[in-house]
Amino acid sequence: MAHMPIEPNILEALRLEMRRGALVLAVLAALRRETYGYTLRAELQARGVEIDEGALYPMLRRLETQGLLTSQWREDSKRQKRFYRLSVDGAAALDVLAGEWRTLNKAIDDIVEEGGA
Amino acid sequence: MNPVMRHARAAERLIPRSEGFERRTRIAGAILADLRAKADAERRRLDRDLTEGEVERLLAEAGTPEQLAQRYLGGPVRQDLVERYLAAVERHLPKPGASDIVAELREAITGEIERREAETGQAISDDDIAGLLKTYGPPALAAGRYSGRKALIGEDLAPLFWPAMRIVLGIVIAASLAIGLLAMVRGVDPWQAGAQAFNRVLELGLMAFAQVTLVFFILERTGSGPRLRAAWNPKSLPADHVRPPKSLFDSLFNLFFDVLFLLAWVGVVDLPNALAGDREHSVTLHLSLVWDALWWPILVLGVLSAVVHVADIFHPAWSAARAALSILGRAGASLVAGALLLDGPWIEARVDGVDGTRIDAIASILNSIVQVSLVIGILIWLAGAAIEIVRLARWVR
Repeated sequence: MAHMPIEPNILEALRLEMRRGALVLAVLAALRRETYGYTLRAELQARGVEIDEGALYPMLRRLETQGLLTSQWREDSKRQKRFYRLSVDGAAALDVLAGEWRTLNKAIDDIVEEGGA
Repeated sequence: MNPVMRHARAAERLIPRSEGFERRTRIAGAILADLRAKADAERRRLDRDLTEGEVERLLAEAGTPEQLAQRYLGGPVRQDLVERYLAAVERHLPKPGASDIVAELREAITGEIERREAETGQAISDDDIAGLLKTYGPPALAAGRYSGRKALIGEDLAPLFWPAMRIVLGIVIAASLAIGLLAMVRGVDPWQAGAQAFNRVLELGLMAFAQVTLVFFILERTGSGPRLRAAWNPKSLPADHVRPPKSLFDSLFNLFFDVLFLLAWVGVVDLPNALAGDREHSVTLHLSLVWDALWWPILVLGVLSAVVHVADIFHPAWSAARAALSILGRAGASLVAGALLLDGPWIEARVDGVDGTRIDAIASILNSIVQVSLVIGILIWLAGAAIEIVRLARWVR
């Protein structure tokens, strides 16, 4: 059978799907230290984790509704900003998710390496 | 109208017309943006809704309408587009928590604008603001992300799918209930009428659900969602301060009566018209032959009204197209009412076994009421059309 090139939108959909769950973990981990939306996004971006503004704020809201984050409006540099940080439940969830991530990461690394060998 | 909007509009009226419509609108938008941001900041500081007195005090601190107009006339205006975007997002959010979400978005967007301006040392252009807003996506999509609802349809079309479904199901339920209610008024056993209405709701509701889902499924499969998103232009966002947006309740309320009227006009349902009577004596009221000649124009006006009210649900803010349709409809309604006024009577009483003199007197009173109503209707429609013409003229300029 002739080799068919992968359609860019299929590849993009797969990439987004793979990153979606990992982003939650990155956000939870970054919020062990209190910060607000813009700084959080900048910090993640500096470490190579891109997140769209339009997706970040709804995600923060959802995690707060789920009790994993707490938030507070506070003045900073003469502007009112909403600061987020990990809640007690969030810290517990982060531990579980981080453990899961390490296990999965190692297992997938092994599989990928094995396949390439 | 809320006090913040009233204050901003009072300031807008003080901006000279020589500034031109676009700049006046932008200045009013910027004033509104600042006043809203101040009210939001105070609400967050107190962690509760503000009382009327607190809002008034806040507005007084911000400046009188004269001071605000003068202050903003002096400099460049650029916040208008952001505020139009936030207002559009807020319309798609559920009321509880909406102002908090909008406050956070406002902070994020204006913060980003200020950072970019600090980096370049120049005021950001409208094109750049539009580009920034595009990263947040169209208002319905941006608001939809906060719902956390798993959709049958993809992210780009989901914000349109549920409102469309609600409207279609709402019309089906309203029409079925209206038909059931009229059947009861006409003497059908209430239990039977209720059961028929329930069956009709189930049957038509399921069909409507399937058809709407199918339409969106086809749109999804043909890639309409991403195309719609890419084609969205933030500069096309409506300016709410031209007139306050229509509320969902108003639009649905009007639509319900449009549907009821159309069903009655085409004869699907009969409105109760018996004035009094028993087996030997009866009096029924009927529209006279005068209406027959105007059957089609009235039907077209009824359909136009329903179309406009459906459009209001999707696009509650003012638009030039909505204004043009409104002017057309009001002018048409005035013409039809004028034609009716030239030729009466409009109501006829058909009598069987009742004293004709008394019935003639009742019919005469009813015709007088119709005559006065037609005159009042014409005045209201013409005044409404005149207001829309002024808004449209300002927009065209």
